[in-house]
Formats: sequence, structure tokens, C-alpha cells
Amino acid sequence: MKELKASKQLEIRFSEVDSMGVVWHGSYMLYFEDAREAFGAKYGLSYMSYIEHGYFAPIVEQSFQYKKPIRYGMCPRIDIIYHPTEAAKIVFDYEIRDPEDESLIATGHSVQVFMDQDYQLVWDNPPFYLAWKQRWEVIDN
Amino acid sequence: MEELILELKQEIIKALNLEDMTPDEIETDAPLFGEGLGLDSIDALELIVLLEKKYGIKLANPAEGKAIFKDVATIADYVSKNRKK
Repeated sequence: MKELKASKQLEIRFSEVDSMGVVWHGSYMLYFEDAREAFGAKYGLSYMSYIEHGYFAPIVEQSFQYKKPIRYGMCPRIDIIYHPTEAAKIVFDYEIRDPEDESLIATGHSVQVFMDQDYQLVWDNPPFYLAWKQRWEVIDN
Repeated sequence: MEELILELKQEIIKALNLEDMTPDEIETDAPLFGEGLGLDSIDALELIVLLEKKYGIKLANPAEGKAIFKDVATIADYVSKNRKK
């Protein structure tokens, strides 16, 4: 099975730094969102493509492990890796690294599901998502 | 049927990463969702994959699924009547 991975260099805003002088833990949520957008643009699985096909893809689970602080002036890189699943879910793993020495700053994990226009959970893989999985060879059959 | 019930409990543990549980701890007639085992609708997405992969059963709609996933006994009954493998 192929590994699908996208990367993005993060630009740290001064407003994201908290009174401890490091990037506030809540800012990472937005970095992960940026990573999902970068992944979507690279592999054709964007928020707008969900909407075009009549679905929403809300986050239902998101976790973070903070290993090293990010300071203002750093230019970390976030890698987002698609985690193959047969269920009607979109699962990603994340790694934020310092390009200076490739050291690991943070890791994370997210799960999205599909909702229809009536905000009801979709139980089966939407046809467009199944076709996407086949196209990128991230499914067995 | 006892065998299928045990197998289902083992498969549910595997599908939902409940590795710290044993099949004995899942009561056959206790609700899987909400009270009882405390699964949620997101967990149901994994049970759907389990039924399809292991038994060749494709559930037609969520309403049907909700009734089938009531408890292990109900799933076992449905699987024994509808399994294709």
C-alpha cells in the first residue's frame, strides 16, 4: 500500500506565542488544519471536494503529543500522513519537525467522518471517497 | 451460535482496539451503544467494516444497522441468517 504524505512549512505568528514564550498549545490545532489543506490540495481530497459531493467531513477526534516547544522565529515543518482505513473515516497522523536538526517537536492524530446535508453520520464510504481510495491505492480491493 | 457469539466478541475487541477487555466482559445481551459497552456511532463505522469483511454482509441503511447493533446476541442472530461467508 502506498504512503500518502504531504508537507508544509509553518509560519509562526507572534500572536500564537503565549506568556511562557512558546507557541500556545491551542495553535497546533490550526497547524494541523493547514496540513490537512496541504494534503487535500496535493491529493485532491479537499474540504471543498467534500462539499461538492454533498458531504461534510467534521473532525471527531484529534490528539496531540507535545515533545519540544516551538519558539517565535522557528520555521518548523509539518508532515501529514494518510492512515489507510476501510471504514468511512479519514484518518491522519501528523509530525511537526524542526528542519534545522530534524528533531521531533510534536505528533498528532485525527479522525474525520462524513455527514450528509442533513448532518447525519454516513455509515458507508461515499462513492467519491471510495474512488479516491482506489485511485491512490490505499485500499485492498 | 455460542461459537459465533464468542467469535463476534473477539472481532469487536479487535475492530475497536479494546485489547484490555476479554470476551467474557462483553455481555451477550447488554446494549453495545450508550449504556453497557458504551460504544458510539463512530464505533459503528468499524462494525460495518467487520460485517462486510468477515461475513460478506453489506448493511443497506443506518436505520437497519442501529437495530442490528443492539447487542451481541442480535448481531449473531443477523449474521447467522445473512452471512455470505
